[in-house]
Amino acid sequence: MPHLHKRLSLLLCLGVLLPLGCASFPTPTDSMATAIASVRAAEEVGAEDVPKAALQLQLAREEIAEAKVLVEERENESAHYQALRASSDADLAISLVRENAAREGAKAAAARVDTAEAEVTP
Amino acid sequence: MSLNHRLLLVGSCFTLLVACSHNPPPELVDARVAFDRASEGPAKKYTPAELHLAETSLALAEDTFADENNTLLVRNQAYIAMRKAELAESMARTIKYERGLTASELREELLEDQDASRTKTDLAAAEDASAETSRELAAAKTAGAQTEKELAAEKLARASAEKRAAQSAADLARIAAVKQDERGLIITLSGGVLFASAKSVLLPAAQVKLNEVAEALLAGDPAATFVVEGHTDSQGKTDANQTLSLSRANAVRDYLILHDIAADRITAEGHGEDHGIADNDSAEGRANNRRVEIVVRPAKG
Repeated sequence: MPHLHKRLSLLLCLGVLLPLGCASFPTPTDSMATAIASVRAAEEVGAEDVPKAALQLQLAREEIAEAKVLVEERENESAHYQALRASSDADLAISLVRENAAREGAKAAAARVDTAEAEVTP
Repeated sequence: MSLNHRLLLVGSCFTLLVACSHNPPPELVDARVAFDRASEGPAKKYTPAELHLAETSLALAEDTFADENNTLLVRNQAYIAMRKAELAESMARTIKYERGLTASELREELLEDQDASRTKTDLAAAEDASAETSRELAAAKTAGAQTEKELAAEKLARASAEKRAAQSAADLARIAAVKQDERGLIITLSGGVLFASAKSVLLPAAQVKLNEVAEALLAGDPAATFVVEGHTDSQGKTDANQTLSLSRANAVRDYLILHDIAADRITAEGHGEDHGIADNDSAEGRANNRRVEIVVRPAKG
């Protein structure tokens, strides 16, 4: 009988703790929301129109899609990291768009200066 | 299989397992490269905070790699660290371009200022030139008005002189024979009226006539000049006639000078018998040839 009690206790512990262990990582709601917001921001600044930024944006979208699948499969930690990866890709896309604009602006300004100098010193 | 062989096989498998477990995943290798590149580039200067975040993320991945046997976690952390390093680089380049843009804009403003300054100088010079032109124009206008005034005065004076000359000519016509030819107005006085035969002393009657002539000449154009020409007939010697004609011309000149005709306005010439106006064969012709002519020359111009 004591053996039986021990086995029943062990089974009870496993039955309770195992599901708890699987659910120990919470659903990555915040990281998913942040990633989705970053992707949206990248789209709004025009990442689609800048080749390097468009690549990062595409990666971010794919990672969000992957994270959603992982959430459905209750793989919350992996989903969380996919969301973080998506955020970092989307943030980089935004920065690349800004960099491109700054570069074009600098080139245009330099060209204007060249023209102005040519006019001032004929 | 001996015990030694078994131990050797187990040891080899363990070594291989350890070695495999400590090979960094490609994400971590990429992250290290990305961070090294970022830390040596403009991010060090322009985005040190972002670079620090990348460093922290990489350190986390390295710690995970060293302490835990969780390759998936290392890969995820390394991927994020790599992106943070790339983000720091991108942001640094953006700042660099923006500063370049600012520098270009400043340079552009400077050039525009220079251009504006030059334009202002040119404008001022143009205004000065315009003012100078206006002054010159005003001066020219004044001068033109003055000239016009002078011309009007001159015209008036000329008209007055012409009127006086006409009046003088009319007066002279009453006194003596007057005609106009290319030399000017010719007043012819008969030699018989002025002088006794072969003499050059004026007769009393001549003086009365010459008084009237002097008055008429003085009333005429004040700028006119006079030439007194003495003429004889062909009787007698030519040289004597020449001398006589000059003496008579001088006698008339002297008389007119005594009667207020300015000496520098009047000259005397003797033409002897050379310029006869009539036939010397008849008494009447010779009488006409014996004469004194006063040529009134109008002012030049």
